[in-house]
Amino acid sequence: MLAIDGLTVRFGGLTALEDVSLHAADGEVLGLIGPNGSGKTTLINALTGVYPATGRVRFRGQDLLDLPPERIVRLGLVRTFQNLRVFRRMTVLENVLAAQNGMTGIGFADLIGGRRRDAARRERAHELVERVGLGGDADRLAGTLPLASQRRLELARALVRDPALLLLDEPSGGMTPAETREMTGLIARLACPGRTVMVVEHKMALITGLCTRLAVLNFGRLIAEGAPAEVLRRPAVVEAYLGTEAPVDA
Amino acid sequence: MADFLQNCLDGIATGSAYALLALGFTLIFGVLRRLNLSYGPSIMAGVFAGTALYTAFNAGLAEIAIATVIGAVVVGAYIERLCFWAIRKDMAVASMVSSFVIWMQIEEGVTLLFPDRTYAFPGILADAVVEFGPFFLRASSLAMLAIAALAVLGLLGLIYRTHFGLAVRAVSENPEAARVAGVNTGLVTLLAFACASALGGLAGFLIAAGDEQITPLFGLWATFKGLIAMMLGGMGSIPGAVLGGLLLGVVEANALWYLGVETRDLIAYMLLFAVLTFRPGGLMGQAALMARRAAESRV
Repeated sequence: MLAIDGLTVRFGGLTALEDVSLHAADGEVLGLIGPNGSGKTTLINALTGVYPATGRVRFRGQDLLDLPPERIVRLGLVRTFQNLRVFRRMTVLENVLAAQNGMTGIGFADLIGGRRRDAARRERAHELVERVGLGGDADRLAGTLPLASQRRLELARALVRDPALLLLDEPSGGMTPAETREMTGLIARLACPGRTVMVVEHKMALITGLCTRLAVLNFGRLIAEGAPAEVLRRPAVVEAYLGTEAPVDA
Repeated sequence: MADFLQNCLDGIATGSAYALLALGFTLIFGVLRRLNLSYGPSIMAGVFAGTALYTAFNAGLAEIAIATVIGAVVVGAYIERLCFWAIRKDMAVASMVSSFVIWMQIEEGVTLLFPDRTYAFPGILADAVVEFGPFFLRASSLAMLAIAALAVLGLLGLIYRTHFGLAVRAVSENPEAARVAGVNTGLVTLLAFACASALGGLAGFLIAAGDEQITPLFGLWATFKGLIAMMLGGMGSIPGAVLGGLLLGVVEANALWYLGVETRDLIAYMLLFAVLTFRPGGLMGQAALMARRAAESRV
């Protein structure tokens, strides 16, 4: 599915990620944790073509590094953002439609609207908006939604591309415990054969409730990888978290 | 009062052409966040393609209009590839400066091919006048207003009703998110540029047909009028471009009538100065400006 081999990201003299090797199997929920600044978001940015990186990343038999972001999305690797990136001046439905259309193969139908295809696209967009629980807000401007709903919208916008690998960057950031529980349930239903989910998170309740496997980053290096309960007990992981937050609080 | 209303009528007709120019500018600025100074000259080149067809083959109005639009689109695409596609996104000043260089190149090129000062352009319904009670409008102005209105409606339909328009709005609002959502931003930008050039070509045709002549200086004129109208309305705002164009037309027509031709442009610049002093984002641009500020503060 995804095989990362010796991934390194440097910003000038600063090494944000060093020689990270990691794989993700089909259908699993892989959790990516680590203290602040350990390189979790950098890893996502490198995978999605936002940051230049060295090393090797193979995704479903394709080399990803050096591909532009929109090509990577079309291969089926889609992400959400820690800092939300919804189109605030569009409606919820339009946000999803914009990602679905994507101007990939632009035909004349795209210019004039192509009625039948249009109806099918709208139906699918509606379906996804319902699925993430925003059915009642389909025609609201995205910028007016509360934060938790905007996170759901980003999820719908990512799902419309039917991703084989979904990267979620702090999907419950800024949410109340109740909202976090709902989001956890939503994510749990997403992973299936043909779809792998990779979650970057701080909240241990979400991580331990969801992930089948954990990878831990510290100072840009991978320090542990394995089953959640076992990984969280390793001394190196406990040490990395000391002074920030205790990892085993769930 | 009657004079004032008559001036407003004339001003709205001229302003509709300004609105087309401003729409083109705002479309380009929206998707690129960079200024294309060569927009006017690309339109001028298109109008000269029309003139060439007219003088060489005495072609009909429709053919000339099509040649003008195609000429403007071709030169516009040339500018996009050279000044915007080839230069990195974060180097806005480099793009603007190179668009100025291309401006000089286009103007020199056209002057070499067409060495006279002015060339004839066919008029629409040359001397006819349409009367509305006490008011009247030249038939060519009425045609300009009608065609411009149709073009604006067409553009609004394209931007707010089609998938292509959705992609344009996505790229304008947040290019990075659009890329990550899978939108082919390069293609969308090129096509938006082509739309802007087509609008500009149409505006150029209507203005040249109204004046029944064309000079290479038309490029400078079109860049000025389009920029002022866009900035009045608010950079990147589509309704703002229409409002800014019409307002500029009306204010100019009244300044011309009451104060004379020497003060007309002075008044237009003073209007721009006043608007930008009190509403730095332009008349309709404030919302866009605030949204961008909010977005930047979150990052």
